[in-house]
Amino acid sequence: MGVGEGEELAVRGVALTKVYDVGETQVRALDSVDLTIPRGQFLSIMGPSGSGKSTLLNLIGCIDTPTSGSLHVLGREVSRLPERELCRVRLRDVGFIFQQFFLITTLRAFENVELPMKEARVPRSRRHARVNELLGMVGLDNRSRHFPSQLSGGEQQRVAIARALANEPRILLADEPTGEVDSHTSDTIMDILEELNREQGLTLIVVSHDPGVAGRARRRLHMVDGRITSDRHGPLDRPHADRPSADDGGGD
Amino acid sequence: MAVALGAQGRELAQVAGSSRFVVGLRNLLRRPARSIMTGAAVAISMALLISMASVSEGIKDTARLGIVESREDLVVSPEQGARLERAHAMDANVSTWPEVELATVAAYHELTVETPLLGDKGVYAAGIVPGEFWEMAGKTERERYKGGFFKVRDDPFYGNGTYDGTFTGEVLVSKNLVDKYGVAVGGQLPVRLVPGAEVLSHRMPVREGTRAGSTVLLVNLTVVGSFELEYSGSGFYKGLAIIVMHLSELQAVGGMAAENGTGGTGPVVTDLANGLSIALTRSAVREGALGVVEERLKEAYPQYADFVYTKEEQLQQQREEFVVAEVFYLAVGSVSMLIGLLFVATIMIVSVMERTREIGMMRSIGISRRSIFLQVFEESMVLVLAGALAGVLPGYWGASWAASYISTRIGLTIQLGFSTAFVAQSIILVLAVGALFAMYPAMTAVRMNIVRAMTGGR
Repeated sequence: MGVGEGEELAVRGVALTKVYDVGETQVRALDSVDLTIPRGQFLSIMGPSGSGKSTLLNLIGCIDTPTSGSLHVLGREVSRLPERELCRVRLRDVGFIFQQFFLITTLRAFENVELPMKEARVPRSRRHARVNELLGMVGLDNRSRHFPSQLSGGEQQRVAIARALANEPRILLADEPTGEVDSHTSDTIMDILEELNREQGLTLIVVSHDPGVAGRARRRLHMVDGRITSDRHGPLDRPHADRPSADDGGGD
Repeated sequence: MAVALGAQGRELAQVAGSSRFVVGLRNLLRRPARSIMTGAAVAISMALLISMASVSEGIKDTARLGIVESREDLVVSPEQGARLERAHAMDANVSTWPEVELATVAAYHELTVETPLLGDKGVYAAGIVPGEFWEMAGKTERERYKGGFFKVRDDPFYGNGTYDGTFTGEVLVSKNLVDKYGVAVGGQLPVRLVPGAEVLSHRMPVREGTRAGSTVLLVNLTVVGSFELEYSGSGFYKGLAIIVMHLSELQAVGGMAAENGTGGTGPVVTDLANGLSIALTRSAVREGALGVVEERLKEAYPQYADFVYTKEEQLQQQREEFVVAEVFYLAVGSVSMLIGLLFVATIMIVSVMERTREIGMMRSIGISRRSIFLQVFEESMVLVLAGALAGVLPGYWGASWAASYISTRIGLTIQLGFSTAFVAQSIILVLAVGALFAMYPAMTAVRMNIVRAMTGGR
C-alpha cells in the first residue's frame, strides 16, 4: 500500500477481531479486519445494524480494545495499552462525536466544550480563548451560556463537535453524527466536518446509515457481519480508478 | 520567571477542581428534593450523634465535677451491701489525726414514706451530718440545695455518744416528691420504721399506723427544703425519689443503729454507715501526707483496707462505671450516623446508575477514572458536609432537650459536653466516615465499561 508506512498512517489495524460474550454465546462483532487509514483521510463506514461499524469505531477511538489483532493509532500500538494510556489517547489524539450528542446536561455549552481541556489541564486563558474560537467556528458563539436543554438538536451536535475538537485531536470519529437531526441541519454538520477535514487535515471517520452523508467521504467502507465487504475510494459517482473496491473483486 | 510559574501553577490547580465542584453541585440540584432529603438524613444522624455524645460527656462531666470539686481527699467506702461498723467512733478517731481537717460519715437506706397524693412511696434516703457535709461539698453540690437546707447543722440525736439526743426530724426531699406526690415544704412527711428499728423506737416520736391490716411504726419528719437534683452522683434510676436526713436519725429509722442490750443503756454496738469522707489540711496535702494517712487508715481499720480510695481512684472508678453508658450512647449515635451515611451512599449509587450514559460518555472523551471518581466522591461529600453542618443546631437542641428530660426524670443536672471543639470533632468524624461510604458509589462509577455504559448498561 502506498501510504501504509509508519507515521503517515492515522490508523492501521491488522486482523482486528472483537468477540463479545452475550450470555453463554459469543458474538463476533469484528472478524479479522485489516484496515489502514492515512492521515487526513475522510472515510465513511456504512453497513446494516450489527455489522461491526460502531465496534470498529470504538476500537479506533480507544474506548474498547480488540480481542485479538493489532491496532496502531497515529503510529502507536493501542490494543494492549493500559487504561491510563488509552484515556490519554482519547483525551488528546481522538475526538468523538455521537448520535445522541451526549452533552453533560448540567453544564452550559461553553463548559461542555471546556471540559476536555480542563481534564488536559490547559491553562484558563488559553482554554477560554479556544472555547470561544471553537464555538465561533460552529456558529454558536452567541449560545455559549445555554444549557443543552436550551439548544436544538443541531446546535447540540455542533457543541459536541466543538467539544471533540477541544484538545486539537488528529482523528475525529463520528458515530451517526446526523442521526438525530433534520436534513438541513445534517448538511450544516457535515459541511463543518468536511471543512475540518479539508482545511485542517483532520482524519475524519464517519459511521452513518445515510448514503448522502457517507457519500461525501473520499473513501467508503461497507461492512457486513464484522467484515469489510467493500472499500471504495474517490467521489461517490466516480470511484477511484486505481483502487478497485472489494465489490469489484479487490479491496482490503 | 518564578512569578510566571506560580501564576501558571495556580491556574493549573484550579483547572480540574472547580468544574468538578460546579458539576457536582448542579448534579445535586438536578433532583433537589432527593438531595435535600439525603442531606436531611445526614443532618438527623449528625444531630443524634451530637446529642448522644454530648449527653454522654455531660453526664460524665457532671458526675466528675462532684468528685473534683469535693474536698474529699480520701474516702472509705465498702462495696455495695457492706457497711462501716461503729462509724461514729471511726469518724471521731480519724478526726483527731493531725493531718485531717475534716471527716464525716454518710449512710444510705431505702425507706417508705407516706405521700399526701399517692400514698406509700419507696424512697432512697441519705443520712448526713449537715454542717460537715456542707463543708466537705463542692460548689456544684451546694448549689443543689437552693430550695432550703437543714436548720440544725450538727447531728444532735447522737449528741452524747448514744442515740438519745434530740430527734430533729428534719428532712430534705427531692423536687419530684413535691411536684408529683404532694409533699409540701414546711409540712410533715411520715416515714415508716424498717424492721429492726423498733429497738430505738422509744427514743423517737413514733406513732402507730395500720397498713394492709398490719400495724406499722411511723415517724413524722418535717420537710425543711427541697432540691431539684439528686443527692448522690450515681445509683439513681428513673422515677427515683430521694430524701436527706440527719445521719443518726436515718440510722435509727433504718435499723442501722442500736445500743447494747437494746434498752438504751451501755456502749453503742450497732452504728452502721456507708462511707467516711476525709479532707486533709492544706499543709498536709502540700507535704504529701496523703499516702501516710491512707496507710494509717488501712492499718487502723484493716477490715476496710481494700475500700480506701483517693480522689484519683474515685475518678478512675467513676470512669470505669461510665464506660458502659458511654459505649451505649456512642453506639446509638454511631449507628444513626452510619445509617445516615449509608443513605448517602445508596442515593449516590442510584445517582450514578442514572448517569451511566453520561459517565460512559465522559470516559469516552478522555475524562480519567480519577476525575470521575473525584466527581462522584465530591458530590457525596457535599451532601455529607451539608448534612453535617445542618445537623449541628438540631444536635444542640436535641442534647439540651435530652439533658432537660433526664434532669426531670431522675434529677440529674447535666452540663452538656457541647463546644466548638466538640462540634468540630463530630463534623470531622462524620466527614471521615462519610468519605469511606462515598468510596463505593465513586468506585461503582469508575468501574463501568465504557461501551456498555454508553448504551445504558454498566
